[in-house]
Amino acid sequence: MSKMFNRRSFLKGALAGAAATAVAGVPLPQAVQASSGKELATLLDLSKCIGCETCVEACREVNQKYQPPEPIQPIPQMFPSRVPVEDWSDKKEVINRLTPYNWLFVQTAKVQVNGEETEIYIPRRCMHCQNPPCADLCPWGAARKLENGLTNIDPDLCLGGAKCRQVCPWNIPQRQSGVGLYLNIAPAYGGNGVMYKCHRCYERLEKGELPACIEVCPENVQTIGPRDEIVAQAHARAGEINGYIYGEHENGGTNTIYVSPVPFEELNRAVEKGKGRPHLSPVADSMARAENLTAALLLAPVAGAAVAFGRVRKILKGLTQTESKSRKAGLDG
Amino acid sequence: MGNFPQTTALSRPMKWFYLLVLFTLVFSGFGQMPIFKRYYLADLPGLGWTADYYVTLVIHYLAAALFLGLSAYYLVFHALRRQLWPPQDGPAWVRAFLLLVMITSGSVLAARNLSWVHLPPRLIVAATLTHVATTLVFLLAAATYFRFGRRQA
Repeated sequence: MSKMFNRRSFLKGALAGAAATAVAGVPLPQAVQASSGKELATLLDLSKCIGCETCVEACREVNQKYQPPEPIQPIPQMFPSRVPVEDWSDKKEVINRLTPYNWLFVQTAKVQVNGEETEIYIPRRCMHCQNPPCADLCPWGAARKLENGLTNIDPDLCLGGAKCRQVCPWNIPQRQSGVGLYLNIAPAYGGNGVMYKCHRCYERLEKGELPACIEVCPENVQTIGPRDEIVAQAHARAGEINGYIYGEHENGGTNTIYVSPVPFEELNRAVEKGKGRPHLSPVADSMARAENLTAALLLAPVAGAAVAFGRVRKILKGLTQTESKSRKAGLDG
Repeated sequence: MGNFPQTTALSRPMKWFYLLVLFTLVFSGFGQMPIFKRYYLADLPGLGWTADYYVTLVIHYLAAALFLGLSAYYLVFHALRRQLWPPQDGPAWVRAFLLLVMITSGSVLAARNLSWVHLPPRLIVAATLTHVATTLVFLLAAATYFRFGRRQA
């Protein structure tokens, strides 16, 4: 383990500083470029990660222009006063959790592998769900899923109500108060800033380049590709190392698939969890109920129409009977 | 069909049920915005569930299904009586138009929630804002009608 620590410390110093210059814009593999219109997923092989945090530095460097602008000071107090103002502008350097300025961090889990205590490093960021509740349930449409499988929050439209964080099974998006559209509407009464999270370097992907965290990784921990291929790779790798998979089925399926030599229950027990530090528990499909209820939305009008037909038919039948009765009565008379 | 009796589509209890469904739709719809917890509603005894977006979402879906069922019943019943169109008065036109816009924008949002559907972000933003704005206009129009309209009628 000390060997791992030494290696980690060395690489952390040597690589992280160079991350800024290292993000040169490496093109996506041909296979990925050819798969336009398909959902892309990433595979994170945790058996390779040495926790050097080069990815973290590269993410921060590349995404500087997407990070929150300087918040206005003083940040408007919220009404009611119990609504918290979340200001990370004086804690930009924090990299041991998710913040509005830090969209990727590395979790550490001390676990036993083959009877030996070791550390597993887990890069954590948005999982980019296949049916993301943050995007589905955003009350303004500021969060959205793109065709290539990533989920992005539009900072110009987001009001910072943090609903996305509440409905996200991992509570990924992080709020910076004192910035964004809400300042121009009714700052004290509605909204509270802008939510930030990993957008999987969507502009780099559009340009046919690799996301920064994937490009700079010295151990090639991450791979990106069409989801079906990535899932197949994950299973193959899990087979090779007798490993375990996380993210394939979580929340109905995500576009971030982890492979680990240690069961995720163990990793979940070992990692520090809390605000900005997501868990690794199994997650049921958050949107499943809504998806199932869509059938009710389609069937209800059919049922309503059928009842109306039935009622009109009954009335007409009553009319016909009354008419024939009165005709009969007329003939008899 | 000329001798069709003057039966109304919705009986009095059904009209109250329709209003209850509308209220549930509006309430659970507002529950999709982060306001019930912020503004203490969820702190009231027995109303803690109003802060759970997944609960209010399911309620919104169920109420929407009931609303669509009632609407289809009403439309088909009157279509068969050939008394559907045009609506008899101004408020009915306004109501029909606003409900149609709400149903259309709501349908877009329901489709968006399906994992296999991908819609352009601009359409989603437009549908979201239209859904909210039309609800507000509907409430305003209803309040105006009940305050002033009926007295003149």
